[in-house]
Amino acid sequence: MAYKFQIIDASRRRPQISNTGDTAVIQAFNTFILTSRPKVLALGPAGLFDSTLEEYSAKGWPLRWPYVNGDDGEVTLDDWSLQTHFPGSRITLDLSVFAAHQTASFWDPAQPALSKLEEMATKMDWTLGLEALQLQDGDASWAAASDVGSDSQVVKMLHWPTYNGRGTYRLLQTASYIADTGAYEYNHVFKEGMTGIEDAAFVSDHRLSLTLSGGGYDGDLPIRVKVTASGTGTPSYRGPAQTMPQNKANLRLYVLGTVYVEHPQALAAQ
Amino acid sequence: MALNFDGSSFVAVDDDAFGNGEGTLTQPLDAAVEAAIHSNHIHIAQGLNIATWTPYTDGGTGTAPGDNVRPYASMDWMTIAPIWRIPFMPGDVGIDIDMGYRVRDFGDTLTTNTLSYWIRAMVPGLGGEVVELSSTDWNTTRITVNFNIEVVRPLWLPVRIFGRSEIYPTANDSADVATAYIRDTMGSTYYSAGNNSNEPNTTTPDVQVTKAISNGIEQFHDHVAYDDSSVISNPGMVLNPSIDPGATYTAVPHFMSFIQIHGMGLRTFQDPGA
Repeated sequence: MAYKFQIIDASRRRPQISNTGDTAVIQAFNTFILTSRPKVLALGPAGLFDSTLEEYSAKGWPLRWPYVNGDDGEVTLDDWSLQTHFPGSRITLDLSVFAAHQTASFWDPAQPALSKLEEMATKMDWTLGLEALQLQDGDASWAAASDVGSDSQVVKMLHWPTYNGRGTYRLLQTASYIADTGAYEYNHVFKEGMTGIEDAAFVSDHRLSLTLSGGGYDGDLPIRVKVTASGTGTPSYRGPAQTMPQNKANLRLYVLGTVYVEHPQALAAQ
Repeated sequence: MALNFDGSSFVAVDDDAFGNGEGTLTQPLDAAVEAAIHSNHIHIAQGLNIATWTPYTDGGTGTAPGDNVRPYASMDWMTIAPIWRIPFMPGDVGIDIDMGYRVRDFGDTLTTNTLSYWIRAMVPGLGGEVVELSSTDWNTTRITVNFNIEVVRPLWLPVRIFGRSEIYPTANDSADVATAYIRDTMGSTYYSAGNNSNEPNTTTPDVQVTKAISNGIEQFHDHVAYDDSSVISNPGMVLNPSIDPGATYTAVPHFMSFIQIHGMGLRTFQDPGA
């Protein structure tokens, strides 16, 4: 039978006694389809509100794109409370990121020649993490919460230089000015959180997966899911000899989208 | 309320369906019960697949409806929500995008709201929709994207939600701002929350575009960033598209409509097969 919700059409709707085998099977099948369908639980990211960023970027407002620098250590990028439909489900996270090599937004003699930008492709390992926590009776803080599922992946990403001389790609253009902001007071990025149609090519997708179990997991209680990332590799740089791109601090991961999906066990067992 | 078997509401099945009341099924299910079961399946199928996004707003304390929600404005199509890759399953024929929002503009008097804002919602490969929003107060809307084809196998596709502002036709300041915007002599207010304001500001460039006039040719430019960091020169306002650095031009600011979004919900739906 096709993997699809089945409509019982008029030919199968008997006027009086209709619970013949075929309609019963269809009804049972539809129940299975409805319960086993992947269910989106939450959409993110919620953003990043950090008062220390006030003088930079989108002054006074939260940033839409949480980010982590290569030398930051582990940073929590998104964080939601979820309640699953069924206990013991598998949870997947679809994470859309932009891996940036934060080159300057302007031309600077100290930077490599423009013609060398093509060679400034920098790769580095990032460790992406998904963790499910659950507060249970007696837990006094999140430090005591039970780990009821986790996953991590080491992903080698190719970073895009954000230098964008002609302003063709607005994601790169915006990211390059976010890069500049740390040291200067009056930089503001008006299009932070917004991408142009042409920017889809820079987005890479990653999936993490965990199954809720262990740690005294209670299917009746909500869970907290956290997305983390950290630059755990050493930049591998192909380009002219100078220091900037080899510095992990210049590699940055922006989160452009998160989708949390519940896969009930019936489907997970297929 | 009339009892419908088209999936529009949940239909109760009472004890009569179970025969003599002694807990034993003594009669086969009749057509009405079957229709109820099937209708309920359809009802559940249409309402089960919903998820929401609630972005952080500001840390401000204002409680008026327009307070603390970051405005989005752009003269080109740009996304106003994250990029979400979500599952579409066989039988899906569309997606509803629900949104709590406010559209405003400052026009030429700083108080009027005459401009529209457009939303383009699309699932690449399946379909898209464009709607015009002109509400000046908080409102909700549902954008329904009916797919060109029915989904026939499980797919994970991105949902992209773009927005585009309308530009007020008259400049909000007739003085040439080419020097002020481009050469780093702006005031201290750059972004709408710049003066601890909870509302978007009437004076800040995040809800404006620049019209540059060179040799009688007018062209509008989005404000991407304000750059104060260059060691070579201060480019000031970073525009898209950029202005030819060799051009002689004057520039005037125009207001444009902006949108503030409290949250969104996505709901995929199937053909009820009525």
